[in-house]
Amino acid sequence: VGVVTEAPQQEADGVEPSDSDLVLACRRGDAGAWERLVRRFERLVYTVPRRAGLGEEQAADVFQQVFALLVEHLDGLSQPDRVRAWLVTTARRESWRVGRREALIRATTAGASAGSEADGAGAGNEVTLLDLPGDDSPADEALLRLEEQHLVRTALGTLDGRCRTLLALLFYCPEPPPYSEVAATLGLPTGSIGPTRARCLQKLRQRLRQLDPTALEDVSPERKGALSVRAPR
Amino acid sequence: VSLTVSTPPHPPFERLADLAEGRLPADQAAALQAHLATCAACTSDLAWLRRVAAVMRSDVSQAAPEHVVNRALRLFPQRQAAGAAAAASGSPLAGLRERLVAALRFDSGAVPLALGLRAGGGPGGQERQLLYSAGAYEVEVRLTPGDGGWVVAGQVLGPDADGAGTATLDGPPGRVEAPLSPLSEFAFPAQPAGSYRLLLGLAGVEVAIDGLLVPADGPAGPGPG
Repeated sequence: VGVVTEAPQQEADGVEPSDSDLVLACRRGDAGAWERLVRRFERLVYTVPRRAGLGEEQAADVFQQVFALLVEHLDGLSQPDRVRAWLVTTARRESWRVGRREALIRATTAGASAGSEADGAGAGNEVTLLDLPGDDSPADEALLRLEEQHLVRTALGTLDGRCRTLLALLFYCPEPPPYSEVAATLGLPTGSIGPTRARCLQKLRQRLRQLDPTALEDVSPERKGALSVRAPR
Repeated sequence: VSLTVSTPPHPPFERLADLAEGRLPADQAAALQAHLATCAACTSDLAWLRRVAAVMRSDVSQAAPEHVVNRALRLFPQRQAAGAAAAASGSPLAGLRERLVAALRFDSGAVPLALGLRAGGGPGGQERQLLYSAGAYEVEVRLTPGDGGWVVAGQVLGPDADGAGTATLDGPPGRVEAPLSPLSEFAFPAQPAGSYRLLLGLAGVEVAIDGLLVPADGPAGPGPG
């Protein structure tokens, strides 16, 4: 699950610097800001190539390349508050590139047995999430979802330990335990789990709004339909 | 005593959370639904609760291994060092387009030969593909048999490879230029045999490929020959 143990740095209600704050601090040469920036986005940047079907080694290559490009472009980013979107776009493009290269090499070295299908035209089929750069395929929807997951995790990381544990148990476990078990884990009376959960969710919403005022808030009907697939009725 | 009973009280957020998670008994759920039908604020809260739960429950993201994160953390001191070195040498970074010399990473013409595979099999077998990298840039070059020589085409991928720029091919017949397509692709008409230099001029850098060899003989295998 990860959220509980990993959730970094600030235990309590400290104000998280915004993405833009971190980029600007990096420009001033603040190595601590770079570390926070990398740690804030590491999961997002690593998940893009993994979801694109790349192996751990290739995903690590993509990861390093994306942050190398970010270092290079720190001064040139015209909208520092859009660094998240920049990272996702770059990770997607780098994943596509690495995936294509791998496929090309495989196709060529396997050319003797695979025959005429083994030329460049077939090489792109491997990378499914990413399709082509710049298109507006289902990949965009998937990447949007990854960004939302990133935001919620980041917001969660700013909550106090009890809220983090509680929400992790209730929402990040494939099989959420019953309230009685959650209560035992947290050392709380069972009856307080419901109200505590509600309060933690409200705090989460407040933190999310601080991070990104529009995140998860605009619920148009068709969007709601697409996203509530797994929500209980 | 009071006549201001027109606005029913909003249910607590907790009730909405219970409803979102299906934890309310049917009668309470129905009563709440009746309120929701007239209350946009509560409807929006409920929608948010469902959405955030769906986002969390569908999260299968993976943390990067620690050594991978650490490697990226080390990029920053390198940046500082590079900046300091540039400042010390007094080199004006601005205004000058850096030139990167690309190294050959892969040659489809070499692999099959070395492995004794695929001597011109299939319709795609005539094409030769070369991959070069230079820093953050990657260049794919394709040589395809064409009218009296080989068509040189390809694509550059990298940070500011956004379709703005020019490709230049220098070789025995002289110099040809071609604009980059929106996908940063380039294509030159068929070129005779020889050693060429390919220059890709992008916004911030120029990527150079030296010693690009256009073969003297026509394509191998069962081609038109």
